[in-house]
Amino acid sequence: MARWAMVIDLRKCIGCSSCIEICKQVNNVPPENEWRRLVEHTAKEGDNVKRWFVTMNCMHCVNPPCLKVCPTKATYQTKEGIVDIDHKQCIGCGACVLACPYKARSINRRSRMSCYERIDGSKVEVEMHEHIGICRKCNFCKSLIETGLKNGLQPGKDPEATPMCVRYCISEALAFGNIDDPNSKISQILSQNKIVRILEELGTNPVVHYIPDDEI
Amino acid sequence: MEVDGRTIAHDKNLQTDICIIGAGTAGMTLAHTLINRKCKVILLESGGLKPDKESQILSFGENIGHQYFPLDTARPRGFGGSTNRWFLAMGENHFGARMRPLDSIDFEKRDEIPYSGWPFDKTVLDPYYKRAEDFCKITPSGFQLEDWHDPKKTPPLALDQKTVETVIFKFGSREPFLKDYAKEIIKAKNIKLLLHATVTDIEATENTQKITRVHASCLDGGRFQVSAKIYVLACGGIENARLLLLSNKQQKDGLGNQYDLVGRFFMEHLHFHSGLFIPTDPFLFQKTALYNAVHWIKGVPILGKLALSEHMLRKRKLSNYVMQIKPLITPYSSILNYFYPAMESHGVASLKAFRNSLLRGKVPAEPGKLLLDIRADAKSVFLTGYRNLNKKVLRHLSKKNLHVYTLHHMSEQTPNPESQVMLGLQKDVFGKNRIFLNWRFSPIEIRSAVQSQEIIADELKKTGIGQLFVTMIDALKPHPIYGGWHHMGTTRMNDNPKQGVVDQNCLVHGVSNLYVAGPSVFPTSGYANPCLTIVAMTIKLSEHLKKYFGY
Repeated sequence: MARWAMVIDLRKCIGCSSCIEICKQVNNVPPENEWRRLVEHTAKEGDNVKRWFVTMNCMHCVNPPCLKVCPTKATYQTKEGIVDIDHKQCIGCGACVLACPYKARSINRRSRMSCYERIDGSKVEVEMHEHIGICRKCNFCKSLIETGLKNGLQPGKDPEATPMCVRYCISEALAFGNIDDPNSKISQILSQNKIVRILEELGTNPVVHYIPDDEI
Repeated sequence: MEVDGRTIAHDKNLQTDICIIGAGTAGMTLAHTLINRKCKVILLESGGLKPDKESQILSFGENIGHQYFPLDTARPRGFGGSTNRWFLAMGENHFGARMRPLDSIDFEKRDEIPYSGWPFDKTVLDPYYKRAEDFCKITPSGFQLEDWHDPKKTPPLALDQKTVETVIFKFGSREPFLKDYAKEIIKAKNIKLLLHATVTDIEATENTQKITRVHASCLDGGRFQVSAKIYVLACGGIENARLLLLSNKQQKDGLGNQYDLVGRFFMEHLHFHSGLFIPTDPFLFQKTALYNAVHWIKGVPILGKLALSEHMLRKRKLSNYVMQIKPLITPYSSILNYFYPAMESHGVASLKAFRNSLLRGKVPAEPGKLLLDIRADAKSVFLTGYRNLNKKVLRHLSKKNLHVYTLHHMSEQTPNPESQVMLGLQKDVFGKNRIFLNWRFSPIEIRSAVQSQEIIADELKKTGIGQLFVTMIDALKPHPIYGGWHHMGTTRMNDNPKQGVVDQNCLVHGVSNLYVAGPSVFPTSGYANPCLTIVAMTIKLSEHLKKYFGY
């Protein structure tokens, strides 16, 4: 059984926001909501300037607080560790939004509809109006992973089966893969580098790992 | 051939025919057109094959003008430059940039727009635009509406073409640049790509009429020089100006800056979201497929937008402007403010002051005056009460979702000498002054954007398509205005050295062998994204080098 995880190398992240912009577009995230966000910091000492960028998304915790508070069981965890939302079950109560210590969740106040499929003659699949008023968040591009696995691809290695933010990171700061496989790229990165996880002390056991920039 | 600049011997002087500084959109295009030509080329890139944090900090700077992106995140330093950040979704997991040539009117000298006018008209650039489309792989060429819509599936809105017209934007993928052209440049026998080599100084003869060499530094402390017959500066709209200003050993104010023009006229495209369009026909979504989202026609991803006709721009003396309508399904309650806008009047303000004091358990300071104000402005007070009541009732009763359009605007920024790239006091690791940006825009753009929306609103109403709510107020800037990472105008083109840094061939005035490529040479910006014009202008420059130098 695979266990999906992500590593964000803060030594490489240049704060370009490509991952955020691409995530917004491919997941049809309304402008008011964000599945990924960027925290930046500047340390200045005379002419010496250091910049620090942290991109954050859902941490897909092993012990997700959002899961426990969901009254309708709309939030669920797959066997591979991905925390996702069944939008048909979600009533948009916002309990999970409050419970998440990473601010990774938000309620869709409005939504957009993408229409270009209709022009090509195929069905409109991206009718997002059913997502209004419910909670949405990063799901590691679960559909890409599932489709990729069905086609014999390896998430994290084959771009077509890898989350879009990782695939299109221009400075290659993001990595994704199966941490239960000791030969996977992500396992090797984790074993070779100093790793930190955000708010680990809360016992959430997040699977998004960060390689800190020691210069800061 | 690709070489890491850090491996070059300290203080070595490399010889070549053409030295291109910067391997972004313009630098790559020029290098690619020079493959297998009779010249040796050195292409200098400050970053590596991929943008990295160490190089990126060299772009750090300060902005004292209108709020802008952090400068070190606004432009990747690395092979491919800004093409790395072409991230607009084109469908089928392709990403790219919007592409469209400037309009004919953008090249003209317009009395209402100070400092407007290119040294040539659009017909001069048209053949290069065709080649640029081929280069960006967005052919078949042309942007005529007739060629890019399907009357049945993607019909344009039936608007009066003399007032509002539908314009086509194509989307060019970044793949040709980052994969195909990058590989071909690296493989080319006559091109040497030097990575991690930051140019810190351009050295000229004493009379500054000729460049003798450029000094490149590496972050590990290494440095070397490149001597060439021709130098082309292609570092983008901010760094082009910075490098000319930094090269001040022979000319005190910087190369090409004898008339204090380098760095001035910094322009961006003004992007903002404002207003709402509510269609009369609730099923209009199906009929506006041309505008709704990027779709593929003849193998090219395209999108339709609404712009004012040239006739209307001239008649109303407006700067160029385009509007994208984005479909949105939203609860009725969320748009009630458009139907029942809040009123700011003397009476309402007095009533609020009176109420707030009572809520705090205090008697208002001047109760009589407040009550008199409320009585004098009773009409506004009642109207506000009526609107608020309506909003509250409808918010609770109406559960329906509406099909509406949000509006995304892109407007031309008019040239403004006060909008400027300067050298700051802080220095980077090479001891060179960091960027100091003062992005300023003028009331002309805001007035223009408001009036353009009003014209489109009138046209939509007249034709019965729907109601467009304009929420911008002329005197106020909409919140927020942001740029599109398009840095233009800082080494503007004009055949008169007193009005431009480069001539119409992009040669720096007063210097015989220094050219500038990229959007910094644009005298005006239009509304169209700059990449296609950058590529067209660079191909034109390449042809010029072939014609006059035999390369």
